[in-house]
Amino acid sequence: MSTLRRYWFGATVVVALAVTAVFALWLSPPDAQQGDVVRLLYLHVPTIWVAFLGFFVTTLASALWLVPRTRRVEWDLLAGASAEVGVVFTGITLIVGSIWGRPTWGVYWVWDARLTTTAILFFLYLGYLALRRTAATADERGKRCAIAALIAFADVPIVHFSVTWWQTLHQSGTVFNSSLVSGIHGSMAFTLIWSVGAFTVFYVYLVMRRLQLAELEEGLEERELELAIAERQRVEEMVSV
Amino acid sequence: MPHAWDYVGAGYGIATVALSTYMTWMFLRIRRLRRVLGGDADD
Repeated sequence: MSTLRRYWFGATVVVALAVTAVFALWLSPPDAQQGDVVRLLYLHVPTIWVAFLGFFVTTLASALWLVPRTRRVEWDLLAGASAEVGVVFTGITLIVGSIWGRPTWGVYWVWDARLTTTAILFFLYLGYLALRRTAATADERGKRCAIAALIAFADVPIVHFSVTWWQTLHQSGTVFNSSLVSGIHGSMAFTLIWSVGAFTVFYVYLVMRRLQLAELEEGLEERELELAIAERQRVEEMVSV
Repeated sequence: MPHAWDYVGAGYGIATVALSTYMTWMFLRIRRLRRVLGGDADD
């Protein structure tokens, strides 16, 4: 993508997020039970949606890397970029959820099924990111990380269905519930849908930039390797003389 | 609900700071690596 197009895309993301803020903080009404605290959900829901999307992209890219016919270094880089963005958004989900929990439930944290499985998801992908930094050949590291990504993704459906399988504190799905009947209407529903869309576009932008950075890091690694080889050859020549 | 806006402000504030920090780190590193690798440093 050209620099100009990237700037326009960045500007679109800024506008989309600004509109989200206006609707979430001013135009949407307070909830009948939760009051103004409901405004945190316009941040909490889109961030976990984007995190799930990020982890799904990581899994897909990892699977494509594992299949010999489709193996390309770009899939590995995309998997890493998407996982990192997903981890950032999962962290924000956990923090914003805790802040919402304090006035609503009376506690910042409880070992509820949804909260616990989401925290596990966060640490699973932190582990995945740590694995990407281990010293190994590109092939070995790619294989290890791709397999780890496939295993880690198993927690995503567990997080999603945790509120159905275990009846604990976290409420069940408001939009994606068993009856598929949304419990929200009007400007509140619009704000939620808009914010999910805006954060999805934001995710795409962040992954594009992170991918750009990953490619530069690859270039730097190759250059450092070339310099190290050249230096070694120079030393060997000096020793032989 | 008392102090509702305090919680809302804390939530949005922390999210904004976290995302801004992440993006700043990413953009600065892109710029630095572009310079190191001899490419253009336009952003």
